[in-house]
Amino acid sequence: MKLSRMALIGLAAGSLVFAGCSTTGSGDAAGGATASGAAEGSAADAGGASTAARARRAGYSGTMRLDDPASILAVRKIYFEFDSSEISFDNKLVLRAHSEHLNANSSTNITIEGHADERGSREYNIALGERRANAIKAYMTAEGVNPAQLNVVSFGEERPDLLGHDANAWSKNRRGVLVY
Amino acid sequence: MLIKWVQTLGLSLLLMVSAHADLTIEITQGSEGALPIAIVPFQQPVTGAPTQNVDQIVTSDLARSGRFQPLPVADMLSRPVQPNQVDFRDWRALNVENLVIGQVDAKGPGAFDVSFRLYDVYRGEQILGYTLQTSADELRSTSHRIADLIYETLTGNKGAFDTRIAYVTSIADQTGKPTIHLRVADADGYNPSSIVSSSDPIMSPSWSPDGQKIAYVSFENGRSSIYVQEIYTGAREKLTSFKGINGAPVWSPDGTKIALTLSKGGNPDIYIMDVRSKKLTQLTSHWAIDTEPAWSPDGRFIVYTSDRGGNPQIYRVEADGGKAYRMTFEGKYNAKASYSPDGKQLTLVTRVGEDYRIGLMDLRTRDIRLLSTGDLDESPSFAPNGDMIIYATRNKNRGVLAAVSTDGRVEQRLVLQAGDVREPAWSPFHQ
Amino acid sequence: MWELIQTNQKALGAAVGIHLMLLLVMFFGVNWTDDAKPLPVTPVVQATVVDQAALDREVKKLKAAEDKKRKQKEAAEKKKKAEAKRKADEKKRKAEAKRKAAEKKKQEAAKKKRLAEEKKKKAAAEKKRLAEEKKQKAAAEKQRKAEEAAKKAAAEKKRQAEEAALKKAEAEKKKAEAAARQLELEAQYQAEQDLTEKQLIMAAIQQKVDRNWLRPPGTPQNLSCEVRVRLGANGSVLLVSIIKSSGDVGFDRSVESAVSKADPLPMPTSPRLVSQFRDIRFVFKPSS
Repeated sequence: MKLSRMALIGLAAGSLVFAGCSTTGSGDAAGGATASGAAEGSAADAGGASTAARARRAGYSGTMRLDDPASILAVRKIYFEFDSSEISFDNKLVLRAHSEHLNANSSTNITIEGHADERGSREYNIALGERRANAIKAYMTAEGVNPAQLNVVSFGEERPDLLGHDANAWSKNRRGVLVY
Repeated sequence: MLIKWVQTLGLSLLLMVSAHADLTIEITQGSEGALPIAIVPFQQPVTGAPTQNVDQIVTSDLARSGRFQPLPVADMLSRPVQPNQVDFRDWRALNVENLVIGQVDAKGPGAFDVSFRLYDVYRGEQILGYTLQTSADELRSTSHRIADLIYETLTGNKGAFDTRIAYVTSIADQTGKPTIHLRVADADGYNPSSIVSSSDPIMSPSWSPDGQKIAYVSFENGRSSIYVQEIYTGAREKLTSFKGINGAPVWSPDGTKIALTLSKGGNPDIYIMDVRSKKLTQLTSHWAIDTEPAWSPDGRFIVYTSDRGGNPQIYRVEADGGKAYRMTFEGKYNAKASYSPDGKQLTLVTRVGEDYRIGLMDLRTRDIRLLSTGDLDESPSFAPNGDMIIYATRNKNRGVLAAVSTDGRVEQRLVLQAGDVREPAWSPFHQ
Repeated sequence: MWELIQTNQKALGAAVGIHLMLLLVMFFGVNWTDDAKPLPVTPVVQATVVDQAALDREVKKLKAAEDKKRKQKEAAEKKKKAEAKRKADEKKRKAEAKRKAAEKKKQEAAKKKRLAEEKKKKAAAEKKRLAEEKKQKAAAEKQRKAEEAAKKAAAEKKRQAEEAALKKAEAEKKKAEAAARQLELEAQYQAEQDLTEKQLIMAAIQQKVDRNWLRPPGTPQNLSCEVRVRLGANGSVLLVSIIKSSGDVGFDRSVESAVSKADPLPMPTSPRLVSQFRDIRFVFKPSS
């Protein structure tokens, strides 16, 4: 496992996404992914509090530093269900924190990248990635962020986060990424 | 030969005056399969033999088509080069229906004459014979032309071996950093050359109808743009670079327009750009995703992928606008459709269970037949003769290209260099 | 009176004579004319004293009477003459009539005689004719009878000949029928044999060609191709010619190859059947 801390956090966030969705019982592909994702998530929990737990506990505080790995602002990846651009509750907490940060730093612009897993056709996945990025942008705009601070770009399946061809990789690649 | 011909003529005359046959026998069984053919190794010049092996190229072309079943050289009872060395009994004994013999003669530095003859083994007749002048550089192309001539003679369909393919490949360096290349190669995957490379994604190559240019999407400045590039000069032009998606460019059959996807209006819609004036016309306008346009061969229609019905399906609209017409209803995922050269079929990506496969939809019956067996197959592209489809598939976690005959019987992976290969686009016929 | 009569005896006599004559005439004279009418009876003269004047008157009277008497006499004469003439005429007339009657009688007799003669002649002629006729009839009848007899004889002969021929023909026919039935049975047997062989050979050819037919992959089901195949007596394929193309080069080639590859085709052993198998039409039509 050559996973960076960042990736671990990402995985943890991913596990939350799956935890959220498994209650809705959707996605055959997600079924397999839930197990492995949960396992990874458990490992992360063992090392400390989960992202969401941190988010719930701490929320955003003006003193939070963007480069603090322990900060909720270190969570930059928002994961999605298959063929979906719906943002889970836990990810909304993450996005709220980022929105507050951007509201506090109006000169800061970010790029929201939309990504998809490798399944299906590539141009459709570009569109799907854009839809996910736009969903994030819409949420953050609703949280008061000036749209001018938010650039959107979709890479579809062209820039996978994980180079695998299984449900786990796919679940990590269906994502929105906030790039500061 | 001549005697045989005279006999044939005599018999024909006899038959013309004789009464009709009164005995009729119906043959309804038989079997379907590739035609057994033998391509005898061509005689090479004593000195200055070319590095390329004509007979092997012809053999693999014919085999890849699915229509032929070449006899392994090791099984041959004789290896004739000249017509007088052909003993048809040798080949009948092996159940070979057609025989190809030939030779390569050196005609000066790097110049060659390639001669070949095609025989009908059971009728004992030569049915084709040519000598082609070529060079060392062109020898593969010449070999493909020979395969085309044989293919056309025996099947009645124009061969598409002497054509090219464009594709995208991602090659990682020692540090694992990928470089994306847009490459053009022979239809069998040989002679690849990059026409553009980038550390950012490159997507969606589309051939101009004259085979001289390729339109594609490049993210080289961190955002998508559509470029048109001349293959042989490398000269390129940025066609669009709007905010949002600039994607899925595809040339109209007459080469005057390019259909593409733009999300500058808030969500992805199909637009048509006049190549010369660069004037844009919006073709679809829907809050859902509309993308992956493809022209009908007559230029009248555009099919595209839309999820306006809840999941991606194929829709059709007239190229000059109008109402969208849904074409696929089977399954929950049908995308990336394109027309066969005769306009009677669509090839597309269709989801079957958890697998994404290449489908062939009959436009009359609307039935979709599966052509591939992979789990992540995509980007199907018709050969210009419509007999084969090239597509991207996975082989041991690596993207490779495969070709399948449109009857679905023969699926063959193309031999390609390193990298994660995807998005093949078959060129038009050689012009 | 009497006296007067005596006195006028002459007158009396005359008167009486006249009267008598009158009576006679009256009696006989049927055809008298008017003047033959009975005269009125003149009164007898009365003797009276006569004076001159009276005599004169008497004389006159007498004279008148005389005159009258003469006139009467003349009249009587005349009458008598007329009578005579009449009588003569009558006589003449009677004679004439009598002559005429005689003549007539004579004529009639002659006529009668002539008629009789004619009749007789006629009868004779008729008799002769009848005799002749009868004779002719008899002759004709005789001839007819002779002819009829001859005819009858000929017919009979013919009938007998025909009957004989018919009998012969029937016999021959029966014989021929029997022979034909025999042949038919043989032919039927042969045909059955041939049919069996024909079907067997056709099936064998079909199987051999079927085995050798390799269609291009993905051939549509609706294609069909017809070829005509000319075979040698030993079943060798001499010529394959497409008479109805499928429109698909590869399919047509597969059909031609199937026949060529099946060379030589099975052939019947019966020489009668071989000719049927020298020229075969094949219909290639894949069925699912």
